Amino acid sequence: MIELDRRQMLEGIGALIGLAALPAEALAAAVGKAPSLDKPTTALVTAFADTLIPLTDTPGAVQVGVPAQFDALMHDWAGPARRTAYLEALGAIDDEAKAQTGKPLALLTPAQRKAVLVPYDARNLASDMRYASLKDLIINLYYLSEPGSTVELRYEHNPGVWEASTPMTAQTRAWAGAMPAGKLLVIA
Amino acid sequence: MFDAIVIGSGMSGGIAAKELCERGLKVLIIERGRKLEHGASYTDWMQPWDLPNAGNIPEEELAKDYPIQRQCYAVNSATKDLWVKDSQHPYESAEGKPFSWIRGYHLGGRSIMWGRQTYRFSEMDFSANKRDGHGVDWPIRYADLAPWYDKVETFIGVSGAKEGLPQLPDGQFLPAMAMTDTEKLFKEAVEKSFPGRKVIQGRCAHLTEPQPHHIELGRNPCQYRSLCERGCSFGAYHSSLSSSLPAAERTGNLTIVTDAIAHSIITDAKTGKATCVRIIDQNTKEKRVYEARVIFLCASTIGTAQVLLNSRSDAHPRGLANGSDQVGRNLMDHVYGPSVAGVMNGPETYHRGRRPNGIYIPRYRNLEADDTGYHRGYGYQGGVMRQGWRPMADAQPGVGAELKDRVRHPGPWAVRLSGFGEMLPDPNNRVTLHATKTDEWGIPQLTIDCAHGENDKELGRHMLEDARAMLIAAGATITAENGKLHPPGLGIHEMGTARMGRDPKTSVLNGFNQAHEVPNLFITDGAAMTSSGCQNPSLTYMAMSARAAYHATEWMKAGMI
Repeated sequence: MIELDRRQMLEGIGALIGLAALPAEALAAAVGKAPSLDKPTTALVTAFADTLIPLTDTPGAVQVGVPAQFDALMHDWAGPARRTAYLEALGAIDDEAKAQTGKPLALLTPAQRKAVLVPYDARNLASDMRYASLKDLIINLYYLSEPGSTVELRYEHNPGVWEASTPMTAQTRAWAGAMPAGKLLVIA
Repeated sequence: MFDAIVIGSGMSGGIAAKELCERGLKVLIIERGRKLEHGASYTDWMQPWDLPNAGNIPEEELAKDYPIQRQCYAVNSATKDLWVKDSQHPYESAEGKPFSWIRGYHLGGRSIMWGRQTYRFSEMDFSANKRDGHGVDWPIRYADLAPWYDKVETFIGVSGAKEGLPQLPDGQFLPAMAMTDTEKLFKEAVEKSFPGRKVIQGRCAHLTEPQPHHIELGRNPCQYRSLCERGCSFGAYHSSLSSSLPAAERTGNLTIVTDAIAHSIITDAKTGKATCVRIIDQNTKEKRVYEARVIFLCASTIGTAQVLLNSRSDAHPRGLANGSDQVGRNLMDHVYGPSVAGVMNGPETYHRGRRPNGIYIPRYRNLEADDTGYHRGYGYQGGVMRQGWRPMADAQPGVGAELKDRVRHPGPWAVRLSGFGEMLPDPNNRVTLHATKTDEWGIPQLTIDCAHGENDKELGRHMLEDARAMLIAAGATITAENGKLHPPGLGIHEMGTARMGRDPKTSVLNGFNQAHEVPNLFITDGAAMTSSGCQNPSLTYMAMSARAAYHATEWMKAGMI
């Protein structure tokens, strides 16, 4: 009984720390810019990004500052239509979390968030362009970041060589670098 | 008073200026855009995490200032300043006929952002109009240009392999870039399944092995970064800034004036010769005139037509050198759009470096005679590389550690082919001066009236079908395709608005790129092209520029012009 309580408490603290600490940490990267998203939305983006690309043996989306970058992009890049679409896509994810658990995504444990998001992603990725685009943006921000490019993947700014055939093993990491979105070609 | 004025500092103007300077002429280059510095003006230093807005241009700015330019694959937040603002440089497309005019107004022009694929035209291409009767006959043949191709290739540096194909002549090549293991498999499968087709390594204007004359100009070997369209601080690919302008400047004969928009060319009514160029400073709007003995007009295909049409006088009421009424007509771009992508099996190998080049499939249709039911043909650019992280992440559902793990590993072999087809010359595809609208410098705006014809559309359909068949023959699974033609212009190979020809009644230029009606006016950019081939055309513009510069200089010395 005591043991269970302690675990519950730790989970609860973890969730609280996640909410309180992670956005601040992430937002610290956006020097001199006031956040453009309100606190609940920031918490939701943070929870979504952290679920999508969590801390493993390498940093996750939150550790590399994706939520702050997302916030900056909503201010500096996105037009009203895209901003609305992304907020709706985030809202739909939160609605799903509430429908399944009774709580917003940001108040769930990492395991609970993943349990909500895995089936949601499978159902919506191909059919909901708002969601697919939002997900692509979070992914892009992560893999373009310095840790995403150099710790998770490998990046050489000046390779200096073209080696057309190199050995590949199960441990071989993919090369990073800016690239266009995956759906370059559309069936038409 | 200069010996020569070159209008435009891009691919053609850069080589024209270099050749004229090296032949001892005092040359003035007039560039409408701002000055760029080789190296200092580039953004190739930006690492992925340095890209403003993760590579995205703010959407409201994109919609307001770049509605046309944004269609180009190379437009992003790192290259934004290299593209014109459509809002500042407006033109009209005819109703229902969109034309995508992709431009860069700065020193070096589009030679900074070009795709660098470098191919010769062949005897078949220079004979094409004569063979099927579309357009007028070229006044030159392959042999006229071959030595100039040699000269330009040697100077700019072209990486490629000799293949012995009559439809795609070999040149003076630096070592070719290697194919990936699966490109080799793709080549084997296509060549076995379709006799007559060849899959070759792309030929590109990159220094795989710089020669002493490249090193003298401060150029360095290719670093395999594929950041090319941001400008290359290594000078590893040919551009006006890395290569032709430094070569011209070291002669001591070159003067460059930037921010000078060519308004018109003035001719002497008595002699019929061009005497000066009227310019407008793009910042102060001050008007000036520069005089010279000979003028090279290299303002890019559509820009060149605009200058000619705006150079109206009593002697040239329809515009300069336009007695034939062919100035502005026969606008072409490559038939472009049909593309197929797939995944295929290959060895468990990978690659290192980002090769700024791909594979190429030279034209194989209608080589000896038209035996297909349509005219001309098409080639393909493509590649077979391991799928990159972004499509690996986006293509399938995935969340959490499993998503990270999937993206961490190199993807499957991804194959892609994009066709480039020859567009027939059609006098109804044309640019004209707008009757009333002017730009902010008071120069009449252009109306572009250009659409694909039936033959062009037919090529597009076959391009798609053949690409599918080749992927399938290589055992690939097709994952995506596009069958629609992009609007003309988006191939960024505009040509034809001041065509060469044998007859002054039906063409603007003779076989030396000299205006039939103005003996000291030479036009050596894409405007001169009598037909479009299906190859990337910049090398041909450069070869024509070098050849015309030689003849112009010789004729000046002889007192003929």
